[in-house]
Amino acid sequence: MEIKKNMTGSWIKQNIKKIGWLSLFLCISIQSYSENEQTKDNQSITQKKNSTVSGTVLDDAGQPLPGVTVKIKDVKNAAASITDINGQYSLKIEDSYVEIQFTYLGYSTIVEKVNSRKIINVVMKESTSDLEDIVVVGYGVQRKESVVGSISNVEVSKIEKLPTMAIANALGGQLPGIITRQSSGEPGYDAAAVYIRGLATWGNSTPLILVDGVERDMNLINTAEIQSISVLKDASATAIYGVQGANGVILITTKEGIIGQPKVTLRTEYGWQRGLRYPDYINGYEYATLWNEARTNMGKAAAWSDEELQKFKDQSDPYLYPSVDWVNEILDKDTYLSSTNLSVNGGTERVRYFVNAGYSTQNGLYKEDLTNNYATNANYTRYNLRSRTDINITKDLSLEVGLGGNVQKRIYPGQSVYSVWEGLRQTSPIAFPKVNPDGSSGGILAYLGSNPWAKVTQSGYSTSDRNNLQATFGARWDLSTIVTKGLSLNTRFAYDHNYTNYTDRYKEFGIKKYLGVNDEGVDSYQLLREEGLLSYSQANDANRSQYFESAINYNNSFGLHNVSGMFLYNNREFVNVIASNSELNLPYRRQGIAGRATYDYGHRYLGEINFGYNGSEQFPKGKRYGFFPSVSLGWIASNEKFWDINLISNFKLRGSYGQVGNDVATSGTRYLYLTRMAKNSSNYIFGNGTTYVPGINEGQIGNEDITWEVATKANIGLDLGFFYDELSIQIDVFNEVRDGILIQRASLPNVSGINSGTAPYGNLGKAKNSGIDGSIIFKKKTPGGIFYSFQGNLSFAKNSIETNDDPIYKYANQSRVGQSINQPFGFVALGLFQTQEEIDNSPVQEFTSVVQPGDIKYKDVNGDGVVNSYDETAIGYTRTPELMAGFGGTIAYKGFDFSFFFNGATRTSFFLDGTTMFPFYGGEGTFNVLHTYYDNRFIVGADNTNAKYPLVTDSYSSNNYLTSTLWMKNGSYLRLKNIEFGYVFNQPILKKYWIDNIRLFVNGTNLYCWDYVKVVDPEADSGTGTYPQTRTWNFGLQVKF
Amino acid sequence: MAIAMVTIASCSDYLEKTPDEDMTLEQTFAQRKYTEQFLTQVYSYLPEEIHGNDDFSRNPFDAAADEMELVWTYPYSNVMNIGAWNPTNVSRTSMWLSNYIAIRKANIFLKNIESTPMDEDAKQVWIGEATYLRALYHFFLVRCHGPIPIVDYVMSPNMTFKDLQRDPINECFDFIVKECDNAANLLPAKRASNEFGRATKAACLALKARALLYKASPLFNGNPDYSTYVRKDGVRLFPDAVSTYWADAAAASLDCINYCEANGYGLFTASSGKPFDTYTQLFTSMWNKETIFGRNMGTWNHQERLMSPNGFGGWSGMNPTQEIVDAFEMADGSTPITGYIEENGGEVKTPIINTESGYTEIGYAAEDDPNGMWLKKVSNMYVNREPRFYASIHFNGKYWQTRQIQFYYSGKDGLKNSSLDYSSTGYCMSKYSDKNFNCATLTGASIKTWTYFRLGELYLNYAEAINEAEGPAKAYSYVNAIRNRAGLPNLKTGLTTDQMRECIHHERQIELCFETHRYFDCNRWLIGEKMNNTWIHGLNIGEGTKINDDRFFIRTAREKRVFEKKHYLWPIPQTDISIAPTLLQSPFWETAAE
Repeated sequence: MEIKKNMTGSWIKQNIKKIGWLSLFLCISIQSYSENEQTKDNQSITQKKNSTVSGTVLDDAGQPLPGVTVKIKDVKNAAASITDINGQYSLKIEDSYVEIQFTYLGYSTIVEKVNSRKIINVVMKESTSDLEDIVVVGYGVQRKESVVGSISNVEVSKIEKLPTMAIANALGGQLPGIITRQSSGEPGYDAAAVYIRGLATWGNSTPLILVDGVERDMNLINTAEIQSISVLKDASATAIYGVQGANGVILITTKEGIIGQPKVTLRTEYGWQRGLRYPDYINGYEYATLWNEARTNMGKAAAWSDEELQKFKDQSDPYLYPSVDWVNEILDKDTYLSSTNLSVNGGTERVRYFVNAGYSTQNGLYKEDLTNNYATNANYTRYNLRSRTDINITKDLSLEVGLGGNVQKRIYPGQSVYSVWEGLRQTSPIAFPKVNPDGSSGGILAYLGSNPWAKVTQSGYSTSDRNNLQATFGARWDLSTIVTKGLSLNTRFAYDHNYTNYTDRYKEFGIKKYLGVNDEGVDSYQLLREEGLLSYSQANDANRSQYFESAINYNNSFGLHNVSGMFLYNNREFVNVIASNSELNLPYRRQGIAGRATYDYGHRYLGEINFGYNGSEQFPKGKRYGFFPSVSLGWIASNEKFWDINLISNFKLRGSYGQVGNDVATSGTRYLYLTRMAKNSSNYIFGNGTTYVPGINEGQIGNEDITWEVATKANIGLDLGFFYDELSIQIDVFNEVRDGILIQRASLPNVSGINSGTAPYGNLGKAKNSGIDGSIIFKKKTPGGIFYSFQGNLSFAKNSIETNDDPIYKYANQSRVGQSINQPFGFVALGLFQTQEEIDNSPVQEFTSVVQPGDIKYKDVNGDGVVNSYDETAIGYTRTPELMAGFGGTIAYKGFDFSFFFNGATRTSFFLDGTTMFPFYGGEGTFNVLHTYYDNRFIVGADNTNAKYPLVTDSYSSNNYLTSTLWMKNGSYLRLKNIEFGYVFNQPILKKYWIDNIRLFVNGTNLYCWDYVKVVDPEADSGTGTYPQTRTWNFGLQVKF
Repeated sequence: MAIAMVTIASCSDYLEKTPDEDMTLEQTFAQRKYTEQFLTQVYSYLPEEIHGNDDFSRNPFDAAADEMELVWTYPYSNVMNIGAWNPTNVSRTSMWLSNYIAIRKANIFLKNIESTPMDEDAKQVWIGEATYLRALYHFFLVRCHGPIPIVDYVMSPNMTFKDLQRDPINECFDFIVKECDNAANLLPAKRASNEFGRATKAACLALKARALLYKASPLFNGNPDYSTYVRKDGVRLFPDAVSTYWADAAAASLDCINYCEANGYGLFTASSGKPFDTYTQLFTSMWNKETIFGRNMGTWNHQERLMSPNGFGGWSGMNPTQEIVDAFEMADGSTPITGYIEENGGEVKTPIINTESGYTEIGYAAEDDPNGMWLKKVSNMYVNREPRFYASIHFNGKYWQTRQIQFYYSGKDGLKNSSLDYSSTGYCMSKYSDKNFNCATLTGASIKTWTYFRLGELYLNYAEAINEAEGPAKAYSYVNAIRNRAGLPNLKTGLTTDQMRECIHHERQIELCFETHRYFDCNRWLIGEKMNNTWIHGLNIGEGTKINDDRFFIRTAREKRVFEKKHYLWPIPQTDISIAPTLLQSPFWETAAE
C-alpha cells in the first residue's frame, strides 16, 4: 500500500473529512440541492414584479461592513450589488419571493427571503467555517439539515474565551453529551478527563479523539488552529469507527485557507492567575494544643507544657518552637500565562493556504529560592506551528498538505508534585523550622525528605523537552466528468512523531536538626544529611504513527431523491519506539473498512446506514474482524407541505440504532489471546553473594476466545426551531448496553495459583448506560442593533453494572452488581458516639478494641449485630459526575460585546478524607491538620452538638479513618466559568495602516464557585488536595490586517 | 466493497503479532537455561520473613505472638491482635495466594521438565528441588489454615472450581512427608558455596521432622474442638487423636539430626567461644554450619532499619514486649519472674519476683559489667540476665554502636524525638542486627540470610517429641546442648514429663524468639487463648528524661490482645469461599461472621 503509486491508480481518493475540500464538495451538493430547490420553488412562484430592496449590512460587532456581495440566490448572471463604506446596498429584483444572498469572505453567508420587504438589514457573523450549515461527521461532512445521528458542536469562539493550554479544559458544559473533570491545575498536567455520555465500561472509557481524521492528542492543538469540534455520540455517528467507536468520538478539524487576499490575524493575550483553595492548615500553637488534647483523650500526660505552648503562640523561639505556615512558604498567590498567535489566510482558486504560528506559556505557583541560579518553578511553554495548503492541480485533481508541529519545554521542581504535596501533608507546623539559624534546611530524622520548602526549592529541577510533528497529505480526484456526476476518490496519508526528553537535575538537600544553643553559647546542630550535588539523569520517550485511508465518495440528486455513499479503507500503525520492553515496542495496528449510505427524500425523509468492519490485533485470528452496523431515520416535519405552524420553523425527529465496539481493555494490555512468559522476573540470589540470577515467570495467560466489547446504542433525538430558528432546541435520549466488557477473570480462586496480574482477560462484563442530553440556543438582534444570545447545555448519563466476574459477596450490600461503575463503597456513618452508654447500646464495632465517645458510629448495614468490613455498602455517587451542564449568554451592541458562561455538575460525591483530615495518622506529631477538621472536631467534655468530625487520638484510628459517609461531601458545583468584555475598533482611519479592525478584550475564568466541598476544588480527586486550580484575569488584543 | 474485502484479505497478516523475543511455555522448557530460570522463579516465592514487617514479607507471626508488637497500626498483625481479622481482609497478607501461586509454578515446572533436553542426573536434582519447594509451600499453608486442598497439578483457568475441597489434615501432613521423602532421594546433602540456598536432602529431612511434630501436636492431632468439622461428603477433616504421632516426629527429628551431623552440619559457636558472641553471630553470619535451609536476602537494609532505634536512623519498628523480656533467664539459669498478679483483666500485671534469682526491678547498676553486657545506671531489670537477652533485645541504656540507647520519653530514641517511628514498648529487637550497619548513612550493610530451618530447632523438636513419646530421659542432652551453648547450666535432673514439657516450651520461647516459631508453637500447644487473649505490656514511653528515670520503668499496658477459638486457624479468603463454597470456611469463622 504505497502512496506514491496511488496518484494515477484507482486509489486516488480524497479525504472528504477535511473542510479544505468542502468548497468543491459543496459546489456539487449545493448545486444539486439548488436545482432541487428551484423545482420546488418554481411550483410556488405565481407572481412576478420589479422592485428594489435596500439596506445596511453590519458585522456582529455592529459596525458597517463594506464590500459585501448582495445578489439574488441561485440565479445565474443575476444582478449584484456591493455594499459601500457605510455598509449600504441597493438591489433590483424582479420577484418579491426570491431569496437574496449576502456573501463576504470570512463571514457566514446569509440568505433572506424578500417576502415583499423593501428594506432588509442584516448582521453578518464572522465564521470560523464559512460553511456554517456543514457538520463534520465521521470521514466526511454533512449538511446540518440532513444529519440524523446525534452530534454536537461547539463554536470555537466560545472556547477561545477560556485561556488554557489544554482544550479539554474548555469543553465542560459547552456542548451536550460531554462530561469533564479537571482535577489539577499543574501546568502541563492540568488537562481535564473527558467522557462522552459518561462511562459505559469499567475498562477503557476514553473517547476516540481525531484531529484532522487522525488519532492525535487534542491538548497539543492550539485553539487558534481549530476550525471545528464535533462530538459524535450515538451509534449512527460512531458505527463507522467500528471497534474504536464505542466510547464516542471527538472530531477536531484545523483551519484551512479561504480564497481571497491574505488576511493576517494577530491575537495576543496575557493572564494573571491566582491560585485558589490552598490547604488551610492549623498553626503551631493550635497543633501543639491538639497534640496535648490527643494525649489527654487517650489518658496520657500532656506532651507540651504551658510554657512551651506559649512559645509556639508568641514565636519567641521560632527555631526550637516553630510555627511554620508551609503553604505560604512554598506557594505564591499569583502567577501568569500568556499566548500569542499570528495567522495568515488566503488564496486563489488554484492555491489556498493557512498558516499559524503561536507561542503560549503558563507559569506555576511555586516560590523560588533566589539564590539558586536556575529556575525551579513549574513552567510550560509551547511553540505551535501549523500550515495547510490546498492545490488544485487540474480542475478535477487537488492536493492537500497539512503540517503541524509544536515544541514544548516544561520545567518542574526537582521533586514531583505528588512529593511536594505529600511533604505539605506530612510536615506539621511545629516539626522543624523552614531554615535553621545558619540557613540550612530544617528537618528531623524521621521523614528526612519532607521539608516542603526544601523539596520545592532545594532539590534541583527537572525539565522536559517535547516535540510533536503532525503531517498530513491528501489528494482528491473528482470523477464527475470522467465517470459519473458526484463520484470522487480521496486518499490521505498522515505521519506523526512525538518525542520527549526528560532531564532531571536532582539534588538531595542537606538537613540539619537545630539543637539550640549549647553550654558554650554556640548554636549546635545534628547533621542528618549532607547536601548532595546536582545530579544528572536523562530519559526519553518517543512514538510515531502512520495512518492511511482511501475512500470513494458519491453524491447526487435525482429529483427529490438525494443520495450519497462513501466507502473507505484505512489502516494505522503506532509504534512506541523507545518502549521499555520488546512487546510494547511492537507496532499497534488496526485496519478496516467503513461505509455509509444516505438517502434524503425532499428534505423531509432521511435515512442513513453506517458500518465499520475492522480488526484489532488484540484478538486471535478468526475473531479479529467485527462488523458494526447502524441505521438511522429522520423526519423533518417542518418541511412537509402541510406544516403550517409558523411558530415552529424547524421540527426534526431523529432515531438511530446500532452497534459499536471497543478492543482496549486497559492501556498497555496487548494480544489478549496469547500466553506469554515473563523474563527477568522473580529473580533470586543463590550462594553467598549479592547477585540476583534471572527467573522466568508465567506472564499474562491468554484467552483464545477473546473478542471485542459490543455497545448496542439507541438514540432518539428531536431538533426544534422556533421563530425562524432564533430559538433552537436539541434533545437526545439514549440508551446503551455494553456487553462482553473486557475484564480480567476475577472469579479464579487463589487455590488455582493464578494471581490477578496474570489472570486471563475475557468478555465478562455487562453494563448499561442511559441518559439525556440537550441544548437550547436563542439568538436575536433587535432593530436597534443589539444582538443578544443565550445558550444552555445539559448532559446526564447514569450507568449501572449488570454483570461482572466478581465472586459473590457474602452480603448483598457488598455487591457491585447494580451499582454504578466506579461506585464508591464505604460505611454509613450515623454520626459520632456522644456517650459510653450509646456505645454500649449499639452493635459492636470491630475495627478497634476500644470505642470511645467521639468516635464514629456506623450503621450495621447487613443487620448481623456487629459492624465490620461486611457492612461496607455503596455510598454516594461516583467522582465523575452524572450530570453536567453549562449556560451562558452574549450581548453585543455597536463595537461592544459582553458574554458570560457558567458551568456546573451534580450527582457526584467527594471524599474529604486521608491524612490532614485524619489527625496524627501515623502517630503523635505526624501529618498536618486542616483547619476544617480542627474547627469541627469532637472535643471531650465540650458541647459537641455541632461537631462534625471525630475526636483526636494520638495515633491512627482504625475505627474513624475508614471510608465512610462522614467524610463524604456533595461534589456538586456551579462555577462562573467565564466572562468576557470586548470592544472592536474598525474606524476607517485604521485602513490607512492596513488594519481592518482591532479588538480589545478582557476575560475572567473560574471567577466564582458555589459548592459544598469548600476546602479543595470540587473537581479535584478525593482527598485533601493537590496542585490547586487558578482564577485567571486575561487581557488581550486581536488585530486583523 | 468486494475490492475492499480483497484488500483486507491480502493484508490479513497486518494484524498478526510481529515476532519478538517473547517466549511461550514450550520454548521455556525447550532449553536448559530457561528451564533453570523457571526453577529459580519457584524459589522466589519463599517468604521474606526476615523483614518481620508483616504484609509484604508474609510474616505477621512475630508481632501477632506475645513476643512482639509493631509500632505502626497498618500491618496485618495489628488487625489480628485486636481481633479484627476476617475472611475478607485476610487476603491482605497474601498468605493463601502467594503459597498457591508458588505451588502452581512448581507444578508447571514438574509437568514440563520432562521435555527439557539435559543430562538426567541434573534433571533429577531439579525435580527434587521443585518437589521439596512444593512440599514446603504446602506446609506454609497448613501451619496457618490447617487442612487445605493439596494441589499437585496445574489448574487451568477454564476448569470448574466450585467443587474444590480441603484434604483431611493428616493427608496434608502425609503429602508433605511423602514429597520430602521423594525429594530427599534426589538431592545432595550439602551445596557448594555458590549454590547455598538450593534445596538439600537435609532440608527435606528438616521439613519432614517439623511437619510430623506439628501433626502430633494437640492443635492438629484429634483436637476435640474440630471433631465436628466435616467436609460435605462426610469426611472428617480432623480425625481422632493418634498417640504414636509423637514417636514418628521424634524419629524423623533424630534422623535429620544424625544425617546432618554426619554431613558436616552442627550447632554454631563463635570463634571467641563466648555465648553472647555465638548467639549474636548465629543470626548475622551467613550460611553458618547450623543453617539447614535459608534464603539469601542480599544487602537490602530494610530489616536493619526496621529494627534499629530511631535515634540511630532506624524506624524502631519491631518492639519486643515486656512479657518476652521477663521470660529470659538470669545468667545462672534461674527464673527471675515466676508469674504475675493480674488486675483489671490483665491490664495491670505485677510480676511475682523470684528473689532467689537475685532479680530486682528496683534501682540501677552501680558499675559497668566487666563483660560489657551493661553499663552503670542501667536498670537492675537488665543486670545479670542470660547472654541471649543481651543479643536479642535493645533496652534502655544498652550500649549500641556509638552510645547508650535512650528509649525514655525525651531521649534520643524516645517518643518525644520521633514521630511515626518510635519504640512502643521501650524495647527494640536486636537479634539479627548487624552492629556495623549505620542506619543514618545506610552504610556498612552485610549480606543477610533468613533461616527457615536450623539444627538448633531440630534439637528442640526432637526433645519435645521424644518427651511426649517416651518421657524426658532422651530429651535432656538435646535441651542442654542448646542451653550450654547459650552459657546456661543444664536443666535440673529428675523432671517429670510435664515439667520437661514446660522447660522445652520455655526454651523454644527464648532460643527461637522472633524466628516465627512462637506464634505457631502457642497455637499448636493450644495456649493461644491463654497467652494472647490478654494485655501485652511495655514500659512507660511517655515519661522519663534520663536513663535512670523511675517514671520510665513502669510497666504500661500497650495493647489488649484478642484471641478467640477461631483464631487458631486462619480463615480462607472469602473470594475463594464464594467461588467454591465446598472449600468450607475454617472452623468457627463462619458462625462468628453471621
